[in-house]
Amino acid sequence: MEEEKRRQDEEIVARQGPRVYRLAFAQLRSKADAEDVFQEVFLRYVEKEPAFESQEHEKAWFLRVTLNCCRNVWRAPWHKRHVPLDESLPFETRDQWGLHQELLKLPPKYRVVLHLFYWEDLPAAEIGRITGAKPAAVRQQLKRARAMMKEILEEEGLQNV
Amino acid sequence: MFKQTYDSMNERLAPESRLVEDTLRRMADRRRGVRWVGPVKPRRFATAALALVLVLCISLTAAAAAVPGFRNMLLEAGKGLLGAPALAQAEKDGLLLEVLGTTNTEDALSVYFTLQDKEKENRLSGNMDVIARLKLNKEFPKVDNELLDGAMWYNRVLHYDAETQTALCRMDFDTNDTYDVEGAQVKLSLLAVTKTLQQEDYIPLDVSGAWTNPKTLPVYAQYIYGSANMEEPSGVRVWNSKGAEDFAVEEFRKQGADLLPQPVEETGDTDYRDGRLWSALKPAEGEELFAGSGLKITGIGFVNGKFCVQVYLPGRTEGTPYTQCTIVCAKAGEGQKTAEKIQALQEENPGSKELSDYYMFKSASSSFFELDEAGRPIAWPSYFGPKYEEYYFEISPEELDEYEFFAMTHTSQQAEEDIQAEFPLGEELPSNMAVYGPMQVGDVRVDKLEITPWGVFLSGPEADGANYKGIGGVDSLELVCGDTAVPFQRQENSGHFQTAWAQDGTGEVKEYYTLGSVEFAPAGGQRVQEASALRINGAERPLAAGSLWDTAGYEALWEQWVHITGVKATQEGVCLRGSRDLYDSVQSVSLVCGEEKLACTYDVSAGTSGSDTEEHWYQPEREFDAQNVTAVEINGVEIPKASFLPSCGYEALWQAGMDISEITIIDGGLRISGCDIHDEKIETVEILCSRKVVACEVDTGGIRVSSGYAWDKEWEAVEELHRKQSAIFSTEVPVKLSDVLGVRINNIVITAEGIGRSKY
Repeated sequence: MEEEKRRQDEEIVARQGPRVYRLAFAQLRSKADAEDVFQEVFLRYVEKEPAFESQEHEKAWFLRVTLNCCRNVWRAPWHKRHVPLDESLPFETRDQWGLHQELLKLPPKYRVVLHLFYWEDLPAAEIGRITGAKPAAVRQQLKRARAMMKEILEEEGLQNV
Repeated sequence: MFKQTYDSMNERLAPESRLVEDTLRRMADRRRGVRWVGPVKPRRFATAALALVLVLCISLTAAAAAVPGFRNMLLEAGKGLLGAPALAQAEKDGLLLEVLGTTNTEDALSVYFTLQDKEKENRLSGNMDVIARLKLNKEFPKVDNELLDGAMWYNRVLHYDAETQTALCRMDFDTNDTYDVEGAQVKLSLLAVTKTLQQEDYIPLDVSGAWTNPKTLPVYAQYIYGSANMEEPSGVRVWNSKGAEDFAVEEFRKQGADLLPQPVEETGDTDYRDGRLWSALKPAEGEELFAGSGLKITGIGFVNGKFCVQVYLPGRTEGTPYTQCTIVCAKAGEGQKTAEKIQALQEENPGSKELSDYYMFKSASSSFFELDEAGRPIAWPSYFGPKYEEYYFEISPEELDEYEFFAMTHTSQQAEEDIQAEFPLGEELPSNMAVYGPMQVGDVRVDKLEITPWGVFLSGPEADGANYKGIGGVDSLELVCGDTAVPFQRQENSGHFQTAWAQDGTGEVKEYYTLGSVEFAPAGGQRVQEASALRINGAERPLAAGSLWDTAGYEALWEQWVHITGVKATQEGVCLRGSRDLYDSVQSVSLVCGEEKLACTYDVSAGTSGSDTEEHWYQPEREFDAQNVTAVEINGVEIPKASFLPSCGYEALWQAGMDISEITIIDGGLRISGCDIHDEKIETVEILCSRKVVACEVDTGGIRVSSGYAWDKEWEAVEELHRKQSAIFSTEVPVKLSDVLGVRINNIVITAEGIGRSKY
């Protein structure tokens, strides 16, 4: 029984882990915090053992819970006492590093919509279901996020991005 | 192009294998009922997010100290506001939990509660972390139901009264405007409290004896799984020549010494090891960083060309003090200064600033290992057991003299609790009693002062050189109630996390939270929400209707993510003050003059841009009279005249026929700008300073005229709209804006809030 559960855990972590980790990193831009959220999300999964109706339902559940856990990280009082050192991130090119640095300047709510739109390829309605916003608001946020990124990247001389 | 770069960046990101393994182990633990109280993995200074959001707090400690039974006062406040006693009570082992009330905003449900150590065993403190869980028993949409049933690990301690050993706490439950929580049954469970016992911000390290060719040990791929505290491990997984192999504990103990697990092989996801086998410094005995901490520096040397500092972290036991540590690298000679900057950033960081802006530190990373019974380093140490952490810095032996290193430590103690209180959501507490601002008090600028049942909330801009101080410059704060001044004192560690959301440019770069029940302030029964004046650093500012900033209308804009914090309509047009994304978020602006509505277009020639706030001007389609304006409509939302930024006396100027829209203190005098300035109408101009009145003479340059243009949203249509005028007035003695209380033109006073600073 335990082995069976372990196998199921491995499968769900393999299936949803990268998605959870990337969204957490997209939101928090910190490897360590993304790792904390990663663990918290899967522990919540164990606690809830939700019955997914479809793959889409499973994906939406994990994205939504990841977002909630990210918010908790921001709220943790731990944030105020701890100082980051630069972290070992796997980026290779100047553009990747530059984009990472510039995304840090973007408000979190815009990072979410950019990530869900560009990486997860989700439509506005689906993004809205996950973030709790109306589709029109998502579209507006996407528009602003793009405009802000354009301005930031131009200021930093990263037009190629 | 953005998508390609973003995709390539994301492709580089994946959970590391050790994280996946660790997570699977914890999932298995959780299934066995093993519960981790608090963060699921050791927290380190070094692993915080780059956005460091910090807040300073003000507390009513002075007032609280003056009032015996502060907790009773809070409860009285609860009674007064709710018309009933505390919503719920629960007590266990002498710890009393009392729920006082709730507020429900669009984003969060907040629960206010007190914790009292009735045994007076000092189990609580003002800087503790309270770890609690909130559950709402209500049917919600299927997908979301699990989410609302989740835990919220942290909440904030608003105030701690040492005399009664009572903490007032607030816990927020994120509803994100999605859930209708009305009528829900709430269960609040207190799980643990963690107190900060000691914090050391600068312990310099002597690295002069760094080993250039140190002894190293391979780190083996093995982990023990089982209960969280490893008292009852259920198995051991070892990677050896057969691959991953699991052993029962007894069997492992029999063969452990003979087992030869493989050293950890690199997967390329940790850069400092350069794809080699992981080699750790052979731990030396080391000396304690400070007495009683158990922390030791057990190795300093170069491994694979990187500078490594190895720290021994003693095992932790629930309920006993535990010290966390981080190693910081600074430029040589700047260690102390760097530590101070880190400390200052923790306390003063306005909103979000990257630490790298402030000081230099080399790229660093770290890893943990523990020693097994045979003395071999084993990756993936247990959470509670003793372990080593290695910090790697990108520094060669030749560069070492250019840097210095120091440790920062944080000692805390966690105690598990299990207290539950259940209550229905009923009448809510009011979230605001009065809002004032923007205003200048002495040399401090304040955007907004909010008086709430639970304290006073102050927000404002950053300091601007010699012109004015930000609210970081508030050394003392009092609310004047009748003949009495109620003092507030700054309290560290409020944990006011909402500033994290201020990154999106609302202009509120910093917040102070004041504590205590203002409903029952101690000053002769005066109600603080009826305060007549705000006193900052001894300077007093009346909180009269004239300075009241009504937010009516703005909230509807904020819901649309339009971050406008102020509107004014002058003879020059409409001015919107707000965040950096103002331009994109504002789709339409109209002036409302009674029944008539005038569409406005963006005026690119006017406005200012700051790091957090912007002012944008819009021009109506034809001439208008500012005195007839009744509202401004933005994106279909009407902001009534009562909610405009304070006129500060400008309306009186307009009524006197002077269409002045801006007065700015400049070097050697002031500049008056407007649309229709006539020399003959301006007879006298004086600058009112704190101790003198300085007369101004019109400059020989007289009135200057410049053109203004309106551009459409696509930056195409250009049309000359008006001719802006300005007149320079000079003074014989220099005047600093920080001294200016007002400007008097023909005996009409423009107050300090209405006076700008030079933009040149």
